[in-house]
Amino acid sequence: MSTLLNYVFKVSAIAPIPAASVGFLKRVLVVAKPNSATVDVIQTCTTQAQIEALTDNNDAIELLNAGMTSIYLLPTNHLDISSLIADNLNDFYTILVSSDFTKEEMLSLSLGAQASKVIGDITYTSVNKGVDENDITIIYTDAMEKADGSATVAVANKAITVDIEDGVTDADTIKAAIDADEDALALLTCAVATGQGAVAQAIFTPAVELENGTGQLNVGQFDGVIGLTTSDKTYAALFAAIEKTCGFYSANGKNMFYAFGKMLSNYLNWKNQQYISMPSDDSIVDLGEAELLFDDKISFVLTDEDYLTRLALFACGKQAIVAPYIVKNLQIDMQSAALQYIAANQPQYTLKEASLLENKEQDVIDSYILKEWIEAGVVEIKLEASNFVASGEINISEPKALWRVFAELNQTL
Amino acid sequence: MIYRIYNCDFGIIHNGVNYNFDHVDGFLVEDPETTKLTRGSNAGKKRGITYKEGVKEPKKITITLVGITADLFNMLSTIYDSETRIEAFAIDRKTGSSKIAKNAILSSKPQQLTIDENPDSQNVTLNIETFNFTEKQKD
Repeated sequence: MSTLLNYVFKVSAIAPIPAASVGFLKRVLVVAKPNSATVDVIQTCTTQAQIEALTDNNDAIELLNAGMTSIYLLPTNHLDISSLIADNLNDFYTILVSSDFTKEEMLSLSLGAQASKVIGDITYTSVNKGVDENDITIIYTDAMEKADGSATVAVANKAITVDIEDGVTDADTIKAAIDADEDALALLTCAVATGQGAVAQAIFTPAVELENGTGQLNVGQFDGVIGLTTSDKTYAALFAAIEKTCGFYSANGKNMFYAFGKMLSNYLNWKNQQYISMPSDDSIVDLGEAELLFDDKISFVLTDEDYLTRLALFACGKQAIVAPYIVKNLQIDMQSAALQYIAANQPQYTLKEASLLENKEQDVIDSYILKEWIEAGVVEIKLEASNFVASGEINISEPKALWRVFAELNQTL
Repeated sequence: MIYRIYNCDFGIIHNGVNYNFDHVDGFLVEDPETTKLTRGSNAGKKRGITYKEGVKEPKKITITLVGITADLFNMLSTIYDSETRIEAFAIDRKTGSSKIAKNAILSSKPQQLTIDENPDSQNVTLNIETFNFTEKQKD
């Protein structure tokens, strides 16, 4: 750089702040069970071969078949993935769980159920919810002489051993021993059947596991869309009702992955994918069955004689599938517009500047209305008493999708 | 809400940057769009049918500047020559109420038309046309 040039005409260049990237909204993370030593680390896959090197599950391949050029894949044996994705929350906005996992695992921990087991006259219930609680085992042994009918408890990981006097130690005594052991109490609680406290309990072998614990899915701070597929209608309905969750009723994961792939591979627009052709037949041919699935807003594929397999509903959280994406896209665009405006204009804290900023934000909403992503929207920005910060209120209509038409045909004479 | 010129700030927005006008004598809006009523010559119904006139004509905004800096003049000339879209605003400082012309063009080249000793000779008129004119009222 010439010293004379800088001496004669010093120029301070100010680079504009670029618009925020919304590319991550079109990216997806697949969670599948591993077939190699690569476990619990997110990988990028651009080819079918790369996917097959990480997992034996073929669901993710449908994303590439649908037109996506790359996906993230997390090979893992469990769905408690909050720590595994914590550093990548801005890399994708959709998590799809492969059909490797059971419906019980797909239920989120918060909605899941505790594991339990009735042994003799005592009901044991896990403290926590989740499928992992089914690993808790209990065994009654008679290893040491206990003429007084007492009980001792030993805990090793999730294995609880209660040493009793076979046929002498009663239920109340066992419960008291459990309640006195911190390690055991951390795992489970127990309740004695009414009036059975004095009944002697018997030893047994082998150890029994608690059962019916459900729920494992834990995505931590992730606030995007989750796709869950199951062949159980009850679970599909439950998934479909959860906010930003797509409950897909299918025999396997192919259809759900393909549907998401089609939607996310469109870089220009957000489309609901009404009645697109689908790769897998889920044998839903009956109109009555379709109506029931529709009523619960479960996503599914209908098989027709003429039209073969078609996506018959694609929704999440009982909203149009594109709704959370459009809202997030709008949020980012509005944030970006505000940042660019403030950086470019260095505004004072005045009503005039608030009005101009509001105008800039409204332009973003108006562009979404023009694209028919939302029907209407209004933004208002006010100055508060404090310096530096203004408050805003944004009201937009919910993005919706038209799937069906109900009509009445009246014949006249 | 009535705008008072001495409470208002005026300017344009070009490429995302606000440019304020220092001296403004007037902000005039002409909106040719009107809603009218008509009915059939049979005069059978008193409700009538509504229709609009003037929808093909743009809204016209005339801003009278008193004096103009060379920088602003050059910028406005470039905007006119390149037919670049701008936004023109009038905002009440006390309430934040605003009149904003969006996606607007300069319909005539800004220039000082008269040079004489009359103070009005310092006026430069900006003629702006738009189909997107918004007004927000705030208390």
